[in-house]
Amino acid sequence: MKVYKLFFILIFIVSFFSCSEEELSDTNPFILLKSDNEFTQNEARVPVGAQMKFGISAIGDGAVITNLTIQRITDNETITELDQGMYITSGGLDTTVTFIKSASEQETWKFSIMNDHRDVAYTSVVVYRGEGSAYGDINYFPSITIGYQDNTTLPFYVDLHTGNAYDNVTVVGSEATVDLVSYYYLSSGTSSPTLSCPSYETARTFHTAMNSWSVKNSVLYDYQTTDNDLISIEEFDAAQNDSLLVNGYLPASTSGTCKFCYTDKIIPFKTGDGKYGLIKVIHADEIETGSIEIAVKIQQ
Amino acid sequence: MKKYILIIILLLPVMYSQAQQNITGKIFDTKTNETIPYATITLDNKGTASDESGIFTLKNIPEGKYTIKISCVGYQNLTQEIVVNKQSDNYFEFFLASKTYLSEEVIVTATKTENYIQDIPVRVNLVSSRQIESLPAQTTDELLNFVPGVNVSRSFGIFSHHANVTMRGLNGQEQGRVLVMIDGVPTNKSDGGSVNWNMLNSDQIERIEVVKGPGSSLYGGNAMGGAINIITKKPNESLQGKVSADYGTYNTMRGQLFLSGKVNPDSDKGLYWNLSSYYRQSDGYISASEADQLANPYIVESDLQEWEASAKLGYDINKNNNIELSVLYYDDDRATGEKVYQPEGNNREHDTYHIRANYSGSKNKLNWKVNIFYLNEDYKRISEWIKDDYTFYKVLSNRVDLGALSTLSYNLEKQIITGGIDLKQGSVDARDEYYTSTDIVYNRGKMNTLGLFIQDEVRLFNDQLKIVAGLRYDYANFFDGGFEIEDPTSETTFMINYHDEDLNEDSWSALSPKVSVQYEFTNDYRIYANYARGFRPAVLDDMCRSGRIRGGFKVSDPGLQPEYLNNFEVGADARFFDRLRTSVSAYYSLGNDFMYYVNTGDSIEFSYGPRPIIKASNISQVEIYGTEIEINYWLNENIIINANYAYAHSQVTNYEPLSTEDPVDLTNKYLSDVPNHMAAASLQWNNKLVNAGLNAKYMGKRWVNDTNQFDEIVQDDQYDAYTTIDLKLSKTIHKVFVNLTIQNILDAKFYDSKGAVNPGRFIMLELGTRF
Repeated sequence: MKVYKLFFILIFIVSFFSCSEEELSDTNPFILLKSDNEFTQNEARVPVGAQMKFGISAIGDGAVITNLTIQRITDNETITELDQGMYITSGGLDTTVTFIKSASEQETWKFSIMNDHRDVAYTSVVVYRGEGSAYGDINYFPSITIGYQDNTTLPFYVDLHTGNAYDNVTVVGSEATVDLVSYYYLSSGTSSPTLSCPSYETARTFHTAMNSWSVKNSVLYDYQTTDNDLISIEEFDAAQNDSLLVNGYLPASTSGTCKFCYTDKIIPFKTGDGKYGLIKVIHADEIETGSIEIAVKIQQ
Repeated sequence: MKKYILIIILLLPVMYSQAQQNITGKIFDTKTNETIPYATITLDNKGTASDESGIFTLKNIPEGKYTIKISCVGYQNLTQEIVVNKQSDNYFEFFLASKTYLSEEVIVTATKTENYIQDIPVRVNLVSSRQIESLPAQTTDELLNFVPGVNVSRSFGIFSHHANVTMRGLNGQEQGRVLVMIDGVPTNKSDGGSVNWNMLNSDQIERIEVVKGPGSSLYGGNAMGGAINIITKKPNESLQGKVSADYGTYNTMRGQLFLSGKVNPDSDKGLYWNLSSYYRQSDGYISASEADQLANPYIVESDLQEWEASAKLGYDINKNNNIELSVLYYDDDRATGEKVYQPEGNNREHDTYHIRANYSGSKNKLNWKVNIFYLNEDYKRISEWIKDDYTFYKVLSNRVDLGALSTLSYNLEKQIITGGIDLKQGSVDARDEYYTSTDIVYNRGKMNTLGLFIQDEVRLFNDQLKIVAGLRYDYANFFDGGFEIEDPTSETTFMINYHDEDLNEDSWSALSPKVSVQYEFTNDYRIYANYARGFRPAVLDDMCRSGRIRGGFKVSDPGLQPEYLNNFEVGADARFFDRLRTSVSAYYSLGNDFMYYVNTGDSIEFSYGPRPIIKASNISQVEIYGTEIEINYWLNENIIINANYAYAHSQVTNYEPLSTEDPVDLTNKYLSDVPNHMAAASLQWNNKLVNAGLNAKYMGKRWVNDTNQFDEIVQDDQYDAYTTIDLKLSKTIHKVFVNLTIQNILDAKFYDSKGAVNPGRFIMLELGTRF
């Protein structure tokens, strides 16, 4: 009789564990935009090219905030300006973002957060086009040459704001200013001169010294514009203000690394502190010991 | 004179009758004392056979001293002196010793009927219960590591979330080309063809039968390169058990329990049962490459937790009829070595139920067996990483395979006709659920398969010639397919064009013939030749799921057809001095419609420029040939030596691209993950001090990728060859036993395609009791 009992106990155990499907409870995350004067308010009028600044506060209602999405909605299209994964466990999200007003008469800005229960909250503001134009000045660095990972003579690291380049010795004390590094490798068999930034993991496999840096800046490169040559060399050379830098950057196709940066490619980017810019590849070697020469235009 | 002659003639019958005797004998098994029927007895020029009770009679044997010879399949020949005289009753008892150590074991997988290995005209290898005890294995698939020509791929030892066991020149990463069964029930999942080797507890295993070459004429899909049948134990004692615990490398610990019993062990009738369970956990080790460890601050140990519980309940209705129910539950959680925010980091979990029921019986000349089975796997994969931002998503997949299998055999004197009908349904219902964006990607699909088979085994010329011919027809239907994307963001929006709530239904059929011939010169020598065709069905994952894969973007193809392998094989076995057994096989296979991931000529933008669109397609022909050689030597009952070598040559002979823009041409390229050379050697030595099993395995070089090109991560076009040596020492004192297992004594390092490394030397010490 004990045999039968043991068997039925086992069946019970098996049945018990069959009910282990995960079901997360509903939560009510919350998001609001700050109303301080420094921030762009609902129904504000902003000139083309001027900066809009939004302050965001959000809570996950006991759940982890895992995503912030910001969309610019005009009559013609919806552009996802930011779709950022995150993991904010306590205290909520408190951040400031900046964007540049486009030529659209009216823009609806939609701010959404999601938590790890996949519950979503959103808020929005409407911004109208103001009078005049506010495109800003730019800095231009016509020639910066840095080496790939196995280059033994040239510097590796670039501060895109100043155009300064550093090697492993001179970078000491300036690590927090470095935005750009370069390396060369075969990507799935395809030759790839590559631009990247210190925060991008793969870059640190080629430039291992960056692993010890306490600050590793991030830069987002627009690979779609780069791959499809959406900006010409002539347009780059002609840019006198930040109009092309802002409007040439497509936020939907960005990454912390940009592959296939061959000679004559134009690469839009946005630095971690919100500066837009363009890189022109003057010359790119296709060997690990080689180098890449670039020109940079960046918002002041 | 005439008078004397007449007297002599008249007396002759009388004289003759006084001098000649009838002798009677009975033949027993030395080990079991059971009688042995159908043994062959020869005495001078007279011969006979023992009856069902093991009894024989030889009539009219003159008085005198004779040498009697007795032979029987499965037993060592016996030669014995006897004296026949009129003073005794001339009754003799003879005891034959089993020849089980010379691979005369009965197996069922090759023909679905019981046959000695030597009587099956294909190459069959057996992992016996004795070998299972002595092999230094931590998992069930590792028990097959030393079988000739078998390629066990388990890159991270016990920390591997999956393993593959393939053979005969087929890709070592594709379990779908080799059928794996438990008690005759298929366990390859329809979703991907894979088998969850981790869920199989070796404590339950009686033996493992490995049939090389296509077995689709009996089993249908997946049995293309071979079939592996794991036979579980059937209790035969009133109560038996084992409790043990082991501990070892990486703080690995395991507890095991096995109990079994039979209510009336001496009866042909009665209830029997077993229960088994184990729990294992380990802190694991860092498997990531050194470069990854430097660059990625989130690299952690690949740890594991797993537990299994199973039960079997059976009833012997009588000697010939049996009904059985088996239930298995398995749950694991294996981290894959990267942890950002989630409590377990990147990991994989399997919740699996495997339920099997069978009824087998026989009456007169009929034998039958009916199986029904249900395999349910809830698979969960957690993926998280930080690159530009934090990404976290789960893959949640429910995979179900269920079916009914039936076999009926009709046993004539020199012929066995076997037929059957198999029904099977495989399904997948899965989703990729993102938590750092709104996307959810669904895929689903089902496939029904009907199989009909018939087989004829014929013995001719005094059983020396055996012919086996079979044919199976399979019909399959794909339906209820869908691939849907909900709330896409940049994570998935690039594949919105492939959103399809109602994928096209499709069907296919496959015909799988086989013909095998064997000639047995004597009990010690035989040759065989066979032809068989096998096939591998397309997997649901390729038919209904699109998504990113290494090198591009894979799109689903519901119209994917099976691939086929036509195999020609010859082999020979010879036994010398009763203790040395050698076998050699050579095979030549032509594969048609082999499935490869092929560039369609289109491209898609999802990051870093256009990526090729790829789909699984039946596009290539392959040629595979090879040979296997095995030597077994029984020095005595306690020392067994085995050595084997396998060579395989696997090459694409014709590649038809889907697009003229496809830059890839696989013609003349070698199949990836196939070692050209494999060799193994083992020594089992049982003595009073300790029982020892020492095993060595050599794995030759393997191509890393299909294009045979230089791989950036591996830094070569082929993986390095390597050799591992494993040792198991066992000691039993009364009912307490101790096992010391050392895998990879030399601490050989080998790497996978991502540069991840194996766990190296792995030591476990087990303490337990058997009762």
